[in-house]
Amino acid sequence: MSEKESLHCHFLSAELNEYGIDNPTQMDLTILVYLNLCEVRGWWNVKTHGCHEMNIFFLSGQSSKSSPREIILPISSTSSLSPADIQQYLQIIKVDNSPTKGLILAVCDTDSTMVFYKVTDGLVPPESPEESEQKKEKQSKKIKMRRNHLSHQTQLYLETNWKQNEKQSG
Amino acid sequence: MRVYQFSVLKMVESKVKLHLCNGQCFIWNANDADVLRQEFHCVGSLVGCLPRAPRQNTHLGLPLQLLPEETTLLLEKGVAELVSTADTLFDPNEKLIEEFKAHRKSSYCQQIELFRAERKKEILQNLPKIIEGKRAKRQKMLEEKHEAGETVDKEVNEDEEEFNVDKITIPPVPEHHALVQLYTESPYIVTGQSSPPLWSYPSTDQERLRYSVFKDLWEKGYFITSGSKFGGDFLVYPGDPARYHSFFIAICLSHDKKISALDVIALGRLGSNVKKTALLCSKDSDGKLFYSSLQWTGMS
Repeated sequence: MSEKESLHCHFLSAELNEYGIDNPTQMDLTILVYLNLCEVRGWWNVKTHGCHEMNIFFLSGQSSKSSPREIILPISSTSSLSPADIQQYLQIIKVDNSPTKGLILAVCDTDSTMVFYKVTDGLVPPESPEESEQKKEKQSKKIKMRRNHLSHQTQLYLETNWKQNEKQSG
Repeated sequence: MRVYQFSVLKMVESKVKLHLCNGQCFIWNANDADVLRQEFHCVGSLVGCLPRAPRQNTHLGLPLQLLPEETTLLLEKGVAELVSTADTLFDPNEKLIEEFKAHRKSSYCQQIELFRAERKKEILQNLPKIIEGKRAKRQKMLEEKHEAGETVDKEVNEDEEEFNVDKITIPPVPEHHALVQLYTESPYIVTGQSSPPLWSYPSTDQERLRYSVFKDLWEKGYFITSGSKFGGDFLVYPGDPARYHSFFIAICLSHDKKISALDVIALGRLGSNVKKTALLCSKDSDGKLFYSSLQWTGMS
């Protein structure tokens, strides 16, 4: 079974088909981005959406349980877009009941490389040095916690293994 | 000092002079450049060689070169006027030559007393050394006389040692040592010698877009410089570029210009690497401006 065929077996494929949007290439990309967000990045509440007006699929989700819902628009790296297109996306693509500012372009290459860039309407100043410092700290704390957790788990595993071995030999 | 007062007067009375040369506008007056920066947040870029540090190009001085957008804006606001090279670079007539000579003469005459005062100060500063030297010289002379068998009066009249600075005659400084003022801005501008220079920026669609974006951002209170350093049209600063880093790299695109998704990545990547926001600026057919901020999400 080819990669494409296997993609089409995914339950999401059926879900996207129900929107009645005829855009097979972007549908494949949407599935890829969905999988990336759920499996690689561990996003929360990732949902699929369809925009009939522009004939495209898009996703929404939260990067962590407490962070706001964001809109992700999968596009191919071979596609091209004009400022007018970007503005149209920004104006039309909306997820009900949750005001979102801007959207995330997920640019996908054929080798499943994916990059995420945020586009926002208007002038958004860059992060202040303090903010990026805080973010960095948070990130390193997270990594440290994960590492500690891992070593703790290994320790636990080794201990139980050793105990079992002792029981068996005893 | 005189030149400074002259400029202040000029600021009140007349407009900032923009010297048009080879299609570029330059400001030669330091005060004008300062006023434009402080009051009109037009920064421009200094392109002149510093007379006291000619063999380097990290620090530059006047003239100040303006962006074409800045020139158009200043002309539109009525703060500035164009001056063509014909108004500044012309052969002087008899009257001007006389004026020039008279000015040089009066400047020299003023300098004589100034130099004299300076010299007097120098002498006063070195007074102890001078007296010491004089005393040693006389002592030596006396000893020589004594050796030669002459009878000398060892008692020295104390009055002789007194040294009165005011009594010294200091000669006037020779004319060829006088200081000469080299003007940055020509003091001999005679406008209206030829037809007023034409300024036709913006004339193409892309230029009109650039100007609209420049003007809009300028009216929002931003400081704007050329964006060529970062491959964009403008760099947008929240305050004086001397005190702030720029926030945005503005890229002006026509509203329907298709750019590939890879270019979008390149712009976003550039922005995140230099801690700025890439700003796509465009104008629709109704003349409404659109800004789209492009930033990396940090997801890799």
